[in-house]
Amino acid sequence: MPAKETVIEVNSLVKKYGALTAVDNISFKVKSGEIFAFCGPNGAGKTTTVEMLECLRVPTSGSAKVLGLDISKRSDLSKIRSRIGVLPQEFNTFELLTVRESLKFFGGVFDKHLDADELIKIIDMEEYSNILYKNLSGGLKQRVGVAISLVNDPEVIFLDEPTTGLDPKARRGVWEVLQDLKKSGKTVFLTTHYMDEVETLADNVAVILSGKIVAEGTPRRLISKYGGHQTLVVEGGGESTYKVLKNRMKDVELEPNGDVLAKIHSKSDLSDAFTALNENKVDYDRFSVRGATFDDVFLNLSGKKIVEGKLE
Amino acid sequence: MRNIVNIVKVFVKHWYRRKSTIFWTILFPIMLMTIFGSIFSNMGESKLTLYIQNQDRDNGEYTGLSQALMDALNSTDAFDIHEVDASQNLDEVLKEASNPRALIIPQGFSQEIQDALYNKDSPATQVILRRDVSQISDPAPGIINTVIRQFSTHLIVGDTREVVTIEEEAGESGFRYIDFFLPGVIGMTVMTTGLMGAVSINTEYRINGVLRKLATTPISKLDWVLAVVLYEMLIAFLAAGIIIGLGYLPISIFNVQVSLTLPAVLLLFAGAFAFPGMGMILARFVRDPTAADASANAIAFPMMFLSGTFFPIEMYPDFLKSVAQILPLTYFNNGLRAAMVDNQPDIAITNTIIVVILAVIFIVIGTLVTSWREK
Ligand SMILES: Nc1ncnc2c1ncn2[C@@H]1O[C@H](COP(=O)(O)OP(=O)(O)OP(=O)(O)O)[C@@H](O)[C@H]1O
Ligand SMILES: [Mg+2]
Repeated sequence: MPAKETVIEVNSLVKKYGALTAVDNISFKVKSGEIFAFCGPNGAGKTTTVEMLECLRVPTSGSAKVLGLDISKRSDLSKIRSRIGVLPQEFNTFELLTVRESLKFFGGVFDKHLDADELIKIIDMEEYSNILYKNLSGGLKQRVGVAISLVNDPEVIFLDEPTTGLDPKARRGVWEVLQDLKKSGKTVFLTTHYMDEVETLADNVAVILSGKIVAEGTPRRLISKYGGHQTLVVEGGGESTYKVLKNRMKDVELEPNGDVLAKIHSKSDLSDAFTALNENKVDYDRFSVRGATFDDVFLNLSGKKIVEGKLE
Repeated sequence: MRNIVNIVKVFVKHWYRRKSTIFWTILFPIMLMTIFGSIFSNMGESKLTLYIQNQDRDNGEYTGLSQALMDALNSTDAFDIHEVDASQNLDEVLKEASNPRALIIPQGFSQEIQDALYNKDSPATQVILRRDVSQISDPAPGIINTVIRQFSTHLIVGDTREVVTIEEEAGESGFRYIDFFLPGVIGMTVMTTGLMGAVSINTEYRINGVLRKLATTPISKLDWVLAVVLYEMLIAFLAAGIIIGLGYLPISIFNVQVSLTLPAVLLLFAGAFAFPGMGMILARFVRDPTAADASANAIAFPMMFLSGTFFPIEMYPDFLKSVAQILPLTYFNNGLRAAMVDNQPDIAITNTIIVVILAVIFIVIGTLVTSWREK
């Protein structure tokens, strides 16, 4: 394999809707074969950005290249479209077609296309191939969407919030498909507002807030840079643990399930906490120390948490 | 072209996998035909019209027996009797009649009865009932039969012979409401399926995001518009075919054998393009799904009533006449009637040209205004 080349290159891209600047002068690069996550809350400008890269919307200013082709050049348009795969946000296909019929239909649209059964194998849905789309669960529907985005055997795949609204099991099903895609050498551009998705899947991530990229890099690097402190978790500690630790430490929280979370700001914090717990003979199940997660990164960057896409 | 055909195939699959659409395309026109056909088939005939041509005369006067038969028919109170002089051409008279039903009492009627009364082997006398035999539910033959049987038994007491019998003859079919209504139902069905179908397909696929996905593929906006129009055309043809087929059933409330002349076929094509074209335009401007259906109804229903579907436009008050002038369905209905039933090629061709022009305009505008990708 040659050294990783750049497949998407974005320079000072801007998109305005009237007075609203939805995408505000962003720049980034996506390397071949990686999963790149574009992470932000509702209305941050994720869809606007991917749809500009998919040549569906026209940028107000700035430039971008996909697979070396200029997204603003009319003559490159159909070349780009034939080499990328797209899963739009809130995807649906024809509801009364079976999975195989849908894949055949979309295959028929491209001169060069993959066989339906091959695609069904990729999304691991052999036993559902003759089921009508409308009778599938949400997670399976999204997997069909991924398969449809692969019909033209694209080099880059854009997935706009592929797991939004799915239950944890269904999301893992989609993740597995995406990890397989990466293994087969495809470049995946993914938008999401799930931090665990970023941590699990992404090789690189850009965090977008109100149209601006506020952080970019590998999830690991961003966690160590923005994640902040480790957390002491006292499982089953309850009210009593909470009261004891609250007297000694700054950031202590009691979770609804009875776990107590305490931020470790300095090395002495940890020994202080144990001393206090022992002195007061507090009862708890077990303890652990948790590293920062991507949730913390986002919290520290925006000052807010994302719950189902909304900033809180 | 390949894309258009493939999309149409998908629509057709949805059509037969969705049971309710089958109901609407097939059963709805049948229901309408049955209801309106039976309500209006004997419209305005509280008494049955009966033309009588009594050819049996003696010195210019009706013979006694023939006069007695006429009196007997009159006394039933079931008939509105019009006498037709023997010198008049009965066929001409019936052509103008809205209920062409005539009884002919032939010359020699009186004489033959008298012969039969004295000679048991003499054949019975015949009167001729000429009428539109497609009117199976016509009560007239039954009533006339009863009157004549009573008339016979009065003449020959204690004898079961029938000295007078009826010979039925197929005559002209006069103006019937169903002749007017059937082209109207075809027009209405092509209009509603086209207009409402195009609106609902567009809104459905825009709302559920399928259009957004299609826009990411090499499928073009024109492919989509033409596929919708073509599909709606197929459905309209299916419905029109069913209605035309019903007309061939030997059931009087339907029975209209339309002529599928070249203008009629051209007109069906043009209409099947024009109304979905209208729908595409409407779907562009009304984005909310419930509002889209409502506005399609709000246009389709008044148009249905104001374009001479159920009643001739000549019966409308003046201001509604001018409204009818601007409705595309008026030209479609008028053309269909002229081509399919009235056999008036000139009127058919003029209206066909108008509808073709409208179809082109609607399709072009519909394609231009349909939004395919966000800007
Ligand atoms: N076609 C449009 N016309 C006007 N404003 C738009 C349009 N599309 C998006 N916007 C606005 O631009 C901003 C960014 O929208 P965008 O859809 O890109 O966000 P997003 O990150 O994809 O959000 P979500 O998570 O909700 O999908 C929002 O404020 C949105 O209201
Ligand atoms: Mg979005």
